[in-house]
Amino acid sequence: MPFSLTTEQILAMAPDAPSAKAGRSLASRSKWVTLGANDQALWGECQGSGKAPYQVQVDLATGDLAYRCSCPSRKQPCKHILGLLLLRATEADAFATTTPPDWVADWLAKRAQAAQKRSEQHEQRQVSDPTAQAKRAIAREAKIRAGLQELEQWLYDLIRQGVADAQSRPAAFWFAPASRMIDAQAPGVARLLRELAGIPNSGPGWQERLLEHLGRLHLLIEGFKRLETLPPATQADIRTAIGLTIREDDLRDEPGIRDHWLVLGQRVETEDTLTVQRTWLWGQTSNRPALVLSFAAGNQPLDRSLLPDTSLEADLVFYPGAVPLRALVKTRHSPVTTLDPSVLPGMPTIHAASATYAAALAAQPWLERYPFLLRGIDMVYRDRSWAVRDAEGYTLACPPHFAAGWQLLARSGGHPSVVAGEWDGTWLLPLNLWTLEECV
Amino acid sequence: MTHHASPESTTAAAYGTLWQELIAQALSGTARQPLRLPSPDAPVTALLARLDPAEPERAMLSAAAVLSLYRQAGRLPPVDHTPAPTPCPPDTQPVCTPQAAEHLALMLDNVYSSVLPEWLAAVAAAGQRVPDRHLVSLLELGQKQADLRAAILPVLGQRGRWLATQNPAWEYARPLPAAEELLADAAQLHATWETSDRATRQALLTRLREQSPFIARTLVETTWSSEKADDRAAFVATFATGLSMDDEPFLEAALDDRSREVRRTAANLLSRLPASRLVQRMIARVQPLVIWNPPRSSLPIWKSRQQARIDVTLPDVCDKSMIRDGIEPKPPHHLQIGERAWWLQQLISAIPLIFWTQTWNTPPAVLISAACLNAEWGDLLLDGWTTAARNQRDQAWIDALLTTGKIMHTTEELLHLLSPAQREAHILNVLQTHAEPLQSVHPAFALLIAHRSTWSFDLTRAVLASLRQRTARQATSDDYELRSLLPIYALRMSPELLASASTGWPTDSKHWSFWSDAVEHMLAVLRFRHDMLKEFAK
Repeated sequence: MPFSLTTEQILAMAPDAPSAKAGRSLASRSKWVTLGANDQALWGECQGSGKAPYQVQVDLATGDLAYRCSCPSRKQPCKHILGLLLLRATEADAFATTTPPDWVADWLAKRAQAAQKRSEQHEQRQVSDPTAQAKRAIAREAKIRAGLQELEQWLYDLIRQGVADAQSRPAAFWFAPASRMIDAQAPGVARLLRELAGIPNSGPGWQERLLEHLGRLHLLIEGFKRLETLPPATQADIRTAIGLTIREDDLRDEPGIRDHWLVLGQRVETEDTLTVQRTWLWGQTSNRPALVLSFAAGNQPLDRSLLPDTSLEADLVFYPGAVPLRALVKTRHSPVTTLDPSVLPGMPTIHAASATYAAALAAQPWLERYPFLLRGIDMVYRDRSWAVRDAEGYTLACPPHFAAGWQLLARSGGHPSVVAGEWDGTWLLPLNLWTLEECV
Repeated sequence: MTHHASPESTTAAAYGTLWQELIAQALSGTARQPLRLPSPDAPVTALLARLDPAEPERAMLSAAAVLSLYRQAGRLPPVDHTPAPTPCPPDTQPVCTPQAAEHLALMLDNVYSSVLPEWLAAVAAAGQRVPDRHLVSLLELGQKQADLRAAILPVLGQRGRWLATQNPAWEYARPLPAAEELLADAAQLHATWETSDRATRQALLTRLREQSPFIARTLVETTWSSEKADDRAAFVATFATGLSMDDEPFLEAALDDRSREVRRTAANLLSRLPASRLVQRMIARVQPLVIWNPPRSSLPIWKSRQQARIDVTLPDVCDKSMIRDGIEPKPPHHLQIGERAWWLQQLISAIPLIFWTQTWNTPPAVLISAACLNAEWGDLLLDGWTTAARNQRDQAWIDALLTTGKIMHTTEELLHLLSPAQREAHILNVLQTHAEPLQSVHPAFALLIAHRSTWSFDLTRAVLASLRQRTARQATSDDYELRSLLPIYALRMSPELLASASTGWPTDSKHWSFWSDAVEHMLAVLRFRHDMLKEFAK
């Protein structure tokens, strides 16, 4: 299987900056005692501080790039794995093409066995006790209902008194109902309430943003009250917004959408101790976006199997909803290859993108962000802030602290480009940019 | 925000008003006044009409949800027709290899960052450029470290230079037109001169002075009286390029400048013009103080067995005219020198060296050995001449001063004025004549630091041999300094000798633990340079 990862893609896998740095310094022949490769795997022995060198190996055959290193590091992938991949990307001839040594062959065999076992288990898997599970679900919904009723009263009180003095309210004023919503097992509502706390001191226009947010919260409560009367897709949106998540395992049995999925960009945000990674994909044939989320608590590693600027043939299962965006990768049909920008579909103008967004918002009023894949875009820098502009002159402003503008401009060289970004109704956060060959 | 004038935008404005009214009511609260929901004639009001005013809080929140979503979905992006900058022209310079780019990434990440200047020079020598993705980091680095700029500019390529024209913070990297081009468009030249930052204007002047010192000087004169002191000092420093007696009146006038830095630079430049009024004044001051006493012999001086002497008298006062000519009345703290000796040393520094050889009709080497005989003021004379040789770039004097064998604190400065080959030969000679292993009191120690280019095989081998001897012995307190300098030596050693540099260390010696980490680190840097330069040999 050809190795097609670029150094940037490999470095994007690093769990943190020090790991990337350490990985880079290991991407030199002289650090390795042995180096080998075949169609299936990549391996090497790296001299560490101990006596025995670390055994580092990567399975290239499965699409999701599995790896293992004998070093004690808890960070994954460790610097040795990154170093091995980087060396492969830059100096392929450093690797002897041979049959793998025993330590590699054993590992590959074990992986094949485990995969076999997993698929068997999956087939055998059944709901442990359907009645008990249904009971638990009913009890939780009752809790949420009671919690939302209480919250509704709190909202009405707030509106009755007016929100003019919102700026002088202590943070606890907003956090108290938020923690009651945690107790009521509605974490999504709790998060909306915590967001409220930041609005009164967010600068000019806070009144508008506050009322907007309160309206959205109210809509969620009203929706849940009459959940049964709503179309199934909207029901799913409301459940998700409230925090009633669907188990991945339940979705895996659903049929997937097979396409050549282009990995456009990635955004990692940390909220308290939870790190959220949003990976945006776009179907080359279906011409539809998809969002794959990965969560990590504390120092746990995020899922690094989807790398920006790559593409893969896969079945994606979408979570139900009126605007299906979130998805999971069900089956991979091809290894990861480097994304070819000339096949990028996308939205011809900002106007067209805005219309798509308006339609999505009409169907899913709690939509927080929507992916834009815009063509013919200029990066514009004016008055110390960035914006994207299309051929018709329509512009979307980038968030105030957006820092990657110069990097994107270095890539575009001022030529009209394809830009992928997240649109939140106010700001467009560019995540990636491609310039098509013919205009360079 | 720009809206098209259309019926829709009129409705949009109406909804805007509706929304603003709702916000105003939300601020004061439904308890104070009954909820009013005005109803313009459009589909959304059908929704609003269904809200029950008997439940004002619920109706208010529902209206907020409806109107805010309606507005958000219908928002028109603003239009901006400002012309975009001309896109970057295609690059003809090839990009460095991916492995070379990885080396750069590592150095930008502060690993082996001391090797960066050498890497940049290697890219430039290969006629290559850096990949687009590293341009921002490199331009930002040049923004912070002005000393790297000259090395960064050649490797930016078309894309990097174009990018620099987009960001005011990277003005230093903007391409400057050739002198002919500048001279061809006087209006443009004046516009550039009047609007650019200091570094650009300084570069502009230097470029101009290579072709036409006259136009450069005229340009400086047009704005001279309104420039800030730092700018004046920077501009007057460019007169070093293409300096001639035509500049003398301007520089002589600059001796009365308000800024000390301007006066000092002007005086320094004038001392390089033997016919300048300043030099004549300096000579008049020194002539009665420094007296040449040739031996009483009929033979020419360099054939005589008797040695000539130089008699020195110190000046009594440092008057206002001396201060105007750039003489500093107080010696710097780090120099162990009396005030009057300091005045004389400065006077000697400001006189063209040719004055001594011509007036006394004697070659530099003889003058230098005569100065060495003056136990009291010999060093003063040598230091003064060294400064003069450095300022005037007088090759004959530099050679003569370096070969006197007397190592002075100014030797390093002179070393820079030699060609790399001359410098190398000089250091190798010092290293071989002093056979004891290298340490901080060794005369070659300071010279090796000052020698900023890559060492030849011979010099590398000689230093390595010396270091191997040193590291086998008991470390003294002097060795801390030597040990701390090994990473710098690693930047200069010839990387082709990596294999032999890696062997032969006294690792079994009981003193080795003092050295092992530093030597390992030195070899790691050398190995990195070896791998790095290999990418350009392809």
